[in-house]
Amino acid sequence: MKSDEREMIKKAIQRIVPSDDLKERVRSAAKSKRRSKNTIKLKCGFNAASFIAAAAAVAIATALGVFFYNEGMSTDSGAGAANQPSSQTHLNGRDDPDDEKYQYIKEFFSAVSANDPESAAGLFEIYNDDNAPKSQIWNNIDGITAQLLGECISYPYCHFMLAVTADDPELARKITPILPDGQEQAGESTAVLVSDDTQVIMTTMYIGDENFSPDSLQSHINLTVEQEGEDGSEESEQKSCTVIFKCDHEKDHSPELSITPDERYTIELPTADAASVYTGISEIKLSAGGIMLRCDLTDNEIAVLEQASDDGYSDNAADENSQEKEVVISVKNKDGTITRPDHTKYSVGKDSIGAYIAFDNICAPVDYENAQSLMIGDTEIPLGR
Amino acid sequence: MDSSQFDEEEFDRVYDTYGKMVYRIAFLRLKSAEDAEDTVQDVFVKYMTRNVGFDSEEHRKAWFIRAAVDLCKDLKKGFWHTRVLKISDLSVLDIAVESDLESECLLDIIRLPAKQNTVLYLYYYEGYSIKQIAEMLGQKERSVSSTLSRARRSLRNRMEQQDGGEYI
Repeated sequence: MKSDEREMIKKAIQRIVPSDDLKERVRSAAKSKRRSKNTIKLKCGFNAASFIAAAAAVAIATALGVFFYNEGMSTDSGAGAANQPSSQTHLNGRDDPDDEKYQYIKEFFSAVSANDPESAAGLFEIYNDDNAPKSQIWNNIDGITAQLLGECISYPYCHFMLAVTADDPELARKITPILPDGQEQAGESTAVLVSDDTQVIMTTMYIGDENFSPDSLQSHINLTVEQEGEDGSEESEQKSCTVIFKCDHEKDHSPELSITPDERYTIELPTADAASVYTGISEIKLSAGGIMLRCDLTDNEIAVLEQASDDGYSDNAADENSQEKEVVISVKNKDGTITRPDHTKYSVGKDSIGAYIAFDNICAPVDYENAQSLMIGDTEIPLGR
Repeated sequence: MDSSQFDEEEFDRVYDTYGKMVYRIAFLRLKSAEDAEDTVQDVFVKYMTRNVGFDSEEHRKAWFIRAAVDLCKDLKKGFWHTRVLKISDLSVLDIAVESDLESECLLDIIRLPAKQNTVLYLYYYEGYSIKQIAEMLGQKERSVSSTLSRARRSLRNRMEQQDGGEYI
């Protein structure tokens, strides 16, 4: 890059300046050791003209009915995402994308998997509302009620979430799940305390590949309860809770939207090395399970992409375990709203038809009627019917 | 440290030195002024309540950069950030605010993914080498180099789409 280009970038970045009063707010926050909550405001930090742009955007957003907010939430969400579902392809019993409860349970999964007690507690509160769905409840453990909140199958794993409530709040804090025998490889469970007496536990079990198609799935979860013995010694007691959930494969699959682009699109995918792979796309299939792109890929390109996927391409230490990729996929709707994934990962393979790249998590349900185009990175692909 | 022990002099010094840098990193990553301000607050709260010392001023600067990046990630992982569409996700950045090249360049930089514009900022604005950035962010040099290269390419592509405008 030439020196004048470097100067251009520097000058451009210099336009990003904080507001004049920020220093005093930061001072106040540093003194009180906690951040002050932002009030609803609209400011762009780089120049006056951008304020006009932002104001215009608000007008657009209002016209589109987009939810504009200012959250002011704590950021101490923790990093316990080791058990984060790799995708949320089937949420049994709640598989209707138009069903707001379906969306709700996905949000709940995300909050628990992100080890975010604040969000999880808020969602659990909603869940406990009389209007919310009630799932299977077990009272077969003295003093403990276990309730299945939702399941999520993302082959080869199944994630499920339980609310475990103990009569004794102290006891509730001591409940930890033990994975069923042979499931250790599926990863550790995540447990989030959502109220004084209730923990929401998300755990993962290995169920194999997509050929696994049981009418129902059953698992025993052992809950370890540590209690103080009469002599003051710590005693550990294991209680067993059987989880049964049905896999309704007929209902699990939302209709697929298949697109054959008029022209061949090119996208750039991240790879583990500096070389980028460009892929011509000949067909796109969009379903609740994700997005599949038919591409012209050489065996070498497949190998490079597979390696990148296996390596869990990630540029930052905090995300080392998350397997996140840089590719961002979103669906742009006719009304201008955008359906975004929490994160996107891909797998690469070859079947009898040819090579494909499958982005296995669009996360937020796709509104098939209103979907207008698909954004893969910076590439916009209009959806046809 | 309670408020009676708050070191005003130290705060003024570090804020004046690193406040804008933290804000810029956060703004570029989060693409939102209010979120960037929240991040600045969090970083300085963390700094003023930390228990670790620094070997040098460079070490301190690296700490601020890493803290800013990490806290931005935390903020983005929050519930609302993954669920609610914000104005900055919309076309705010697609509106040409000024026709001069610097403005266009800035908007193009902001549009880059967080990882890319952070690396671009550290490399071109702060003048760090790829090796230093890799060490600071806990990444592989190859990865930083690749990210930087993608950022450059994206900027080039975007400028090419803007009627032949050129700065890279």
